[in-house]
Amino acid sequence: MASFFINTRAEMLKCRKTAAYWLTIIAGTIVPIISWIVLVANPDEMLKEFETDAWRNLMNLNWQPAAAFFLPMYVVLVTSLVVQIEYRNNAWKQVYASPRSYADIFFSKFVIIHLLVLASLLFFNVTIILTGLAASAVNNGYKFSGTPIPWYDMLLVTSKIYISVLAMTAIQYWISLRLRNYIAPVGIGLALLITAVMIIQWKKIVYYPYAYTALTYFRNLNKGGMNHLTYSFIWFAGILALGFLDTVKRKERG
Amino acid sequence: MSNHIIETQRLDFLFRSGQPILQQLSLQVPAGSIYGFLGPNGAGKTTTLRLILGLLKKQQGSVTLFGKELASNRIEILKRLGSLIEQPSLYLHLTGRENLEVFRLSYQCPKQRVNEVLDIVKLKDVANKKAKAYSLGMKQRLSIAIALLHDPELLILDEPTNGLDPSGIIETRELIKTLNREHGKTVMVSSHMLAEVEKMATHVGIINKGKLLFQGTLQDLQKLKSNQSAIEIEVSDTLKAKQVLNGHYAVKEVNGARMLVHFESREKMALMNRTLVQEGIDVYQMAMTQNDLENLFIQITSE
Repeated sequence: MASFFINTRAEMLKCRKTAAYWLTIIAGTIVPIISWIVLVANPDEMLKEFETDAWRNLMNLNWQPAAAFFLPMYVVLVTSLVVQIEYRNNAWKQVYASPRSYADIFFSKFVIIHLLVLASLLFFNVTIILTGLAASAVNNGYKFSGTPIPWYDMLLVTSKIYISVLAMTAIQYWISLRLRNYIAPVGIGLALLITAVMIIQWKKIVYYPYAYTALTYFRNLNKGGMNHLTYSFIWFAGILALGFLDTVKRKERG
Repeated sequence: MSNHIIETQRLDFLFRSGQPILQQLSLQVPAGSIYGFLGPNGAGKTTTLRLILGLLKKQQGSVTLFGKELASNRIEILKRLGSLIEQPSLYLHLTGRENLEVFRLSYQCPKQRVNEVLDIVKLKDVANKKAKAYSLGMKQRLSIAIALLHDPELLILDEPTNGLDPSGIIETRELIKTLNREHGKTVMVSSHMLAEVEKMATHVGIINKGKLLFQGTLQDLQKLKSNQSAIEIEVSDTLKAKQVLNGHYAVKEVNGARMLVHFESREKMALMNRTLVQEGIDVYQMAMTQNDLENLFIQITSE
């Protein structure tokens, strides 16, 4: 187990200064920053809306685009980017020729993807708070400073959204491991994501992993049910197991 | 236990199309040697090395390293060897030192090893530059440094001089010799250049079209070569020269103004020159033929 943690550190070091690293920061901050610009640029319109329950309104303003598109798109991109570090540098062979078990190689990289997703969610929440306070500083009509921050709600929404991307991370990870090319896994991921938007009204949408973030946030879509989170776990565990088995059984590595 | 650090027995490998890549390959790399694994491009060298490292799944035959079967002792074996397969595997966005740090963590070796291996490959001055700014020779050396991090007993290097300029080739060759002589490493190094292998190897294996044609010490190879060596002579009258030499020397081939004669010794070569001149034949040129890999294959396969 100690070896797994050390190798996860090594995987983290590989991600430094890569596109995956910068994308995580951008993905976590871009939507709140745009929301802040909307707040300070349109005070006449927005002040009315934000008169009561300012923080929940701000969360809503940010989570809607994030849950519908930005977050799943980020998951598709970051998963491919992390795996591409090995393909682009022709380094898989060196990784497999080092004294590491297949489980260690497979899961340490997957853990890194999850740490990046969690970091992005953390940046997202922190930036929401900072932009709320900054909006109050620019226009004291906004009541963010004097209103308590809804920590529990933020944690609850973030946890559910995180669970809802588990399935996608496993599927995209396997696709990215199987395809050497960077564009293909991203293309497949985006196509599956666009399909989710197209079939979102489908009765059995709870089985479709790429719709889970939208189903989690837009409660009217699933009548408030959260069954898809259970399915997200099932997809996650199933695909991860298959992906790992595939890695162990592969005839050619690197 | 045998003193062979790497041993393959009757290794067969087929592509998915059914095309055979390796046929009954039995290699024996002695401990303490520099084993030159020689063959033209596409002969099966990289496939063999990838099988030895477990990067390709074995189909037929056995691969043993340090006396242990690879399949069931993969991690234990990989802890004792370092490798460089084909072009360098470096994280180009990281510095040389950071690249070493990534693998140092995986190999779980002490921090000071990073400086030690940088010293060995002479990259300490540029260790904090990004690997993408390195020349190909520097990238090769950094890859060798990675292979050396955990102080392995065995190094497997696939065409480490490929694409290098002459000074890079010399530096890499000297490094391999130093690692063998001063650090006691067994080195298996593949190459498609006979002259290169001859300059550093103690043992040689020659592979062509997936089959091992020759395996032995460098002396064995040189003996084989000298048995087959020829002198190329350019004279004014080849017909007359052939008549003069017939019976005394083995004339192999006559082609225009040039002829090939079997080489026996330097003294006999000088005597032949004198004989030709005394018989009124002008000798314009007399030289040993270059024994390149192609000629060597012809000699080995014709035996």
